[in-house]
Amino acid sequence: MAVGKTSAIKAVGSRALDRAEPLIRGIIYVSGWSSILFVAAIFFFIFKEAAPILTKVDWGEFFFENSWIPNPAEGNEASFGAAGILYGTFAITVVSTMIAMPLGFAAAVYISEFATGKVKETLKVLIELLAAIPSIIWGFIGLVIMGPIIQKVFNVEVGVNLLNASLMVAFMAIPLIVSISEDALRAVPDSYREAALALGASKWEVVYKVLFPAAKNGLLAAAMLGVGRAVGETMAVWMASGGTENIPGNVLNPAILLERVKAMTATIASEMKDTAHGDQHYMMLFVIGIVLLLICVVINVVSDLVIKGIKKKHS
Amino acid sequence: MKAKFHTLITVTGAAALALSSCNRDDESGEKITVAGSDTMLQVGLAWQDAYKDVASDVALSVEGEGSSTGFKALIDKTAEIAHSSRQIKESEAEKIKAAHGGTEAVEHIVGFDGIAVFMHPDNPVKSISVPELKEIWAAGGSINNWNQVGGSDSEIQRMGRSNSSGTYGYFQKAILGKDAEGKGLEYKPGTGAANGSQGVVEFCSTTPSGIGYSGMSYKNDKVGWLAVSAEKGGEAVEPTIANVQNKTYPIARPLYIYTVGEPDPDSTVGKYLAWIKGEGGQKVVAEQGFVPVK
Repeated sequence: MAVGKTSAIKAVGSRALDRAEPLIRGIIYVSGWSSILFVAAIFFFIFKEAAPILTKVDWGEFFFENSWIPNPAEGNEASFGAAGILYGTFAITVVSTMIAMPLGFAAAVYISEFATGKVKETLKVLIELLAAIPSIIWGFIGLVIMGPIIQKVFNVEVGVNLLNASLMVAFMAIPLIVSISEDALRAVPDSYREAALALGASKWEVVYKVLFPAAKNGLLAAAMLGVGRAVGETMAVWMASGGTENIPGNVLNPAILLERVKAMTATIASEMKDTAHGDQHYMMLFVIGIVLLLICVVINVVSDLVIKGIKKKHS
Repeated sequence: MKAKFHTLITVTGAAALALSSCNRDDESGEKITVAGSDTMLQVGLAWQDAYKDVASDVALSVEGEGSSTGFKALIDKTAEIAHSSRQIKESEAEKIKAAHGGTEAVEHIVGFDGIAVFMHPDNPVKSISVPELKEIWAAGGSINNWNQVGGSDSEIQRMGRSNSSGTYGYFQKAILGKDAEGKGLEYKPGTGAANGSQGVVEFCSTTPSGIGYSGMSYKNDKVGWLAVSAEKGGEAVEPTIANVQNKTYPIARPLYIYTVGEPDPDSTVGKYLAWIKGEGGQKVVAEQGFVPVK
């Protein structure tokens, strides 16, 4: 196809364009490769900073013990048990996804299938606006507005906790999930809808039995991006989570929602600025960074594979 | 919030200074770069402001990202002065010595910071002793409920600072201290790490059973602080400037400035440092809610 286009342009006889073509092609080529270069560079630098300590890390302690004491009292050994911090990120991700996914999908269905005219346009604009709110503002809302509300509603002492942080992250992920899943739903050909309606399906049945299966890829991509957002969110989580590494006794007890937690991102952000460059603590923060990066890579790869799997099944 | 806002101002200010110094360099070239403690950022900016009236031709740039960043700047030779709310670590001192061909870092004490123990203003407990604070904050400590220190029946919610901050280290050394075997004590598990000193105050003003520590200059109308006595049963006093100065308030730490070698008294840095230690600079220290040396 590219050849066809080039010859078409040549046929027009624009010599300037002719000369510029290799240059433009070069620029586009570099742009394409640059993203790969950036990813490689990010991996390289993060691994480089942590490299001297990677062989010395006690991985058993890191993953399974909850004792993050990088700057111990005089005469004590530093310990780097990050289980509490890993749990914090995990818990915020799970809870916020559980809040954001149903809300996001429902909103997308409403906007794409039910709302019409002015309502539809207004909603779309408002949701885009929601996406533009910076994360520090969400953190602030969590701290001064949601905190006191949680204190009153649940009659608890501390308003900054897992629930608060998860709600803030969910609110940040919802616009992302809505806009992508709305795109996915809209991409389903109208003939599907018409056929289903002609067969006597109700509107809900059309959504549930026809549109959801047809738009599966896009919906899954939306959910995965939401999860990625939750894992990587820093500022709002830092401010609204209470900053305490806690491991719950019973994971099924809903009261753990009201416990303070600490996330990996917030740990890096709060401790990095005061660590001496290149010391043990500094490198361990980069180890957390590596784990965070790997989690994101795994999420992306898995969602890619799942989407590809679905595609194959369909074709 | 306040600290963040100040950082923003500093960054903007630094950028502006960097731009303006382009012209100025040709004439005098008198420029001092200061980096370091975020506790001392406010007082550093106030010094910068006040010093304009003393020596208008000196361009000061002040940053406050954290005590460690100041030492790093001395090592990298990107600053002449480091602010610190903790003493220099041996490793940092060695690196400075190595980077400057054997010249050692010199410590100057330019003021004191009373560390207040904050709580909710409605908390009926108004005073506490240092041994009780130790039982509240240290791992293995026996006090976990406000009713053990004369308050209502509610679990104490502890909020501290990030484990790399100078305030965290000072409070640990001064209050947690050592156990019977002489081993340093760690913080009790479940102690929070707030987003800066402002975060501690915010937490204590919204949490009825909260307790936290931070510099006394962070006090506002929405938060209360405890009067502290050195011994149980002793006279408890509030963290005021007078009480820190006459040493009746037991939790106060020095504010440090570090330079590489003792600066020549006639140099730009030497003059600035002498002014800070003198009447003009110390007045600013008091205005910023810290405690002057004399």
